[in-house]
Amino acid sequence: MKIIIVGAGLVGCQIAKQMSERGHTPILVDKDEKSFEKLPNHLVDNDFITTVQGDGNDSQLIKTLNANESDTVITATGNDALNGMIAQKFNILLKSKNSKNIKVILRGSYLADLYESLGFSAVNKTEKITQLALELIKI
Amino acid sequence: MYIVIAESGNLAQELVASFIASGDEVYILDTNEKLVEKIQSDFGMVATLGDMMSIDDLTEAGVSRASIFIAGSENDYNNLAACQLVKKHFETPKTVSLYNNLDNSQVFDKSGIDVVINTTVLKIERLSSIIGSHPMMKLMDLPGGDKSIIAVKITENSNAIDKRVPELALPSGSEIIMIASEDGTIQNDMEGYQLSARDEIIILSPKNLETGIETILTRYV
Repeated sequence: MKIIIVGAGLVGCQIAKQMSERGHTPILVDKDEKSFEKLPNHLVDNDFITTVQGDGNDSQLIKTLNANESDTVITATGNDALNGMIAQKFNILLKSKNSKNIKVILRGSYLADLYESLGFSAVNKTEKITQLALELIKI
Repeated sequence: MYIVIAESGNLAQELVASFIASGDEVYILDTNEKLVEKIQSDFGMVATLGDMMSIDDLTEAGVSRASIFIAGSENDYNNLAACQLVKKHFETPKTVSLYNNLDNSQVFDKSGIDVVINTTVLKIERLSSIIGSHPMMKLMDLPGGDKSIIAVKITENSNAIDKRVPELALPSGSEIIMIASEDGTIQNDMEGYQLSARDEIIILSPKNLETGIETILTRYV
């Protein structure tokens, strides 16, 4: 499965790592080359994860990623509104593809409903962590 | 008419004065505490501190009864999200968003926002009207410092007249962003369009190649 992840923060890097360990081939995009240092060296050196240094919100860069060949796009820059814009750019470029395959990682709850209504799959990480914490302490 | 303006920065005071003068009711929602205090001191309680992407703050600002919501922050993505949020939650009749980056045009055009205004194009139009016949001017340097946006007007005797964009042999790395004819028509088919005298061309140019591009578009041999 070809996966494009925009944003190499903790979430983006962790998703890329887990996906590559499951045999998939993630492409990780970030403006800051240093953010890729969080990835295990062997995964990058052996091309299990492709890193692309550049602006994931730039249409020209998005075109060079051949996004129409990807199965899933994940926007995880750490900025909810920016993630939403990038998701909409990918959606325009992908045209006929299912927009549910575009996952928007969010910190807040207000925009989750909006992006779901636009057809994307919105993942509210704050809500997920809270749920997990509550389950762990059995409240 | 009740108008809510979010994150309009330095424009806020002029906008408030202008809307009040025209008999409209206006309210400013902004994260800049000093700006909110200044507007409150000059115009009364027509401004509040708040985040334009918070339903609670938008509700507090009375967006549910607003006829127009305007998002004018420096961040295109925040304006996009705020206007889409307002459209979805409050069904405001008219949402207006400013945006800076021409690369975001397609997203804004398809966003469902009622009115989208590109501030770069506005500046270009304003500057073009000021400079009149000057064939080339630099509009802005892009972040990063290696590219700039320039406007070139095709001169009367230019060799570029009647040529199509692919025939121009512009320097590598340069890209035509927009072609506007003399009557203001924006040419959508930029590859197929034959250039005419007085066309205004907006170009993304690598640094230090601006003069070379000007020469290609204006020289007469």
